Amino acid sequence: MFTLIAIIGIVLLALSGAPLFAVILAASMLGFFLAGVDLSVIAIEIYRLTDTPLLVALPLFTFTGYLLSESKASHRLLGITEQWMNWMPGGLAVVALFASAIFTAFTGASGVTIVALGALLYPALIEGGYPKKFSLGLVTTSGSLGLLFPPSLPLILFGIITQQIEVGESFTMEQLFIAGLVPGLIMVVALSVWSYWSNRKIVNHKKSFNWKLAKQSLIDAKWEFPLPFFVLLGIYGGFLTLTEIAAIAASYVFIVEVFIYREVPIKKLIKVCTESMTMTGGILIILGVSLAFTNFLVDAEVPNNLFEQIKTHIDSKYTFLLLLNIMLLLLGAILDIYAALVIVVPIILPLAVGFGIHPIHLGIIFLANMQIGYLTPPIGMNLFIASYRFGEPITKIYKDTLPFMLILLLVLLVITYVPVLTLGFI
Amino acid sequence: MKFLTLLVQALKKIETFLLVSLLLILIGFSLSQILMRNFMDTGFIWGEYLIRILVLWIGLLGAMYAGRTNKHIRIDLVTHYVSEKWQRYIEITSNFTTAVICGIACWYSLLFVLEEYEYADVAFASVPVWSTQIIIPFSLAVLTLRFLAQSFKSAFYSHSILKS
Repeated sequence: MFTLIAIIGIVLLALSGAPLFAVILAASMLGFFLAGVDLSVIAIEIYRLTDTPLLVALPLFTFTGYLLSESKASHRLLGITEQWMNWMPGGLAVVALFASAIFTAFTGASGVTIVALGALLYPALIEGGYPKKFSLGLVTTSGSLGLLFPPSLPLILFGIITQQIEVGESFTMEQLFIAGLVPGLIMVVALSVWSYWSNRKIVNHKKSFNWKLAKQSLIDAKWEFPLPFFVLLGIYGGFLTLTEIAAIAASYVFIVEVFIYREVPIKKLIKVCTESMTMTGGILIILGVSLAFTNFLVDAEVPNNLFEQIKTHIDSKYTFLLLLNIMLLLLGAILDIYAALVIVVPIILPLAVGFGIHPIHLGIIFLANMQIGYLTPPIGMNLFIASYRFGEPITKIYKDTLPFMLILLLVLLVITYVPVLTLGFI
Repeated sequence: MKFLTLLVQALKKIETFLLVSLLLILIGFSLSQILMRNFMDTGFIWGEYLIRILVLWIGLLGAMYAGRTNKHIRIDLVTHYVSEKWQRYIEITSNFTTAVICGIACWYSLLFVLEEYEYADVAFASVPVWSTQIIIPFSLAVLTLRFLAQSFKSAFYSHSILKS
């Protein structure tokens, strides 16, 4: 009876908007208490955060992303993509999608793409003759595009979590990063094709390529331009570890934005530090208490029992994948991506591996779902940020985003059922 | 009362200072480790440990900070769909419960660190393990106080004052 009341209480606590770390903390303390384990175990589990050497990439990349979004890097990135891609028919929409994907990969899908880049793209699209409805939908969608490209934080976090659980085939971070490339590109290309097709009557005037302006856009961004190449080369070339890349990127961006471009004065730098570390801390404390919770679940053999239960009802891998997608979509609609990763991955990874799904494939499916979750009501974060930023009611934004979301759902199905797209290159 | 406000302000400044400087140390130190390893073939053996401890400290200080600015990750479902009056009641209870949970975790973490203090193991260089762990009960204690304060604030001040 006590257990039941406590569990209901914890669920109510979660729904009432209490911080998730406290909810998980309560659940694991309850679990350990009932199992007769001394609650000091909580501190031991939180201290286990120090067992993960890769974790340092999290604060470093978060800081880099926040610093980039506080500077005028978004202007310069847009300048380059505009000058080099605008000659294509429907170029501006394509520019918007590609620039957003790159920006999101570096800043994490914290909504900053909509605020920093979307705010520039939206008026540009309207001016370019695109309908308001389309432009709003595109900018809202692009806020979480690029999650599958390195060095996106959710991708890194997935790698860190799975390496801690040690279930299924082991893999390197590099393999995970390669796996995300093709599915991520399919998303960007599919959205580009649709953007062009749906506006083919409106946007038929091409802009001509201007060599001088194109060159100038590169010169303007000469300090930031090498950054994506360095990160990609470092990761795929295999001559630097991820934490080394993170440390170099953080120091480099720090020097460039604070001392060379001088766009982030010291006072703002303090804000960048505290805000990025607030986000890192919010994720790390959930990760810490989730380590405890996962351990309790494994001790109580919950994943095993769950697998046995599910196995009696579902025997096909494909049915399981379909149900997994539906569950993740629902989850993505109510749960923050980082919280979802930390809480849910330890539970579903053993299930997925039991059904013969490769951990990397699961990761890409998981993130693709979460990306769509940013766009689904009731609390898809992109909808709220776009509503706030562009002053439109959330219901309108939802309707405008719908076609984009449907395309992403289609791509999700392809990614799910054609694993070779994810696993063929690793 | 005025003294108390000043004290809290000073503590907040110290907290910000600590968080910012630890982050900058982390960035600088990890860069210097790479440079030393690749160009001079040296590096501190304990460098790797220091970085991991720094990440723990920055993470938990960041979590404290998230309590101060009310930025913890939560399921933000109810607040969008209930009246302001109910919102306030829910806020009072959920913040108070969070404070209780943090309080319990803090107490047991403190016991754990005290135990470690008696073992007197060394983490790296000559830094004892317990001193690297002390941040766990400390941050939980601060979070307890912060959520208590949030709960009292919503209980004793009306929403309109808070918003302004």
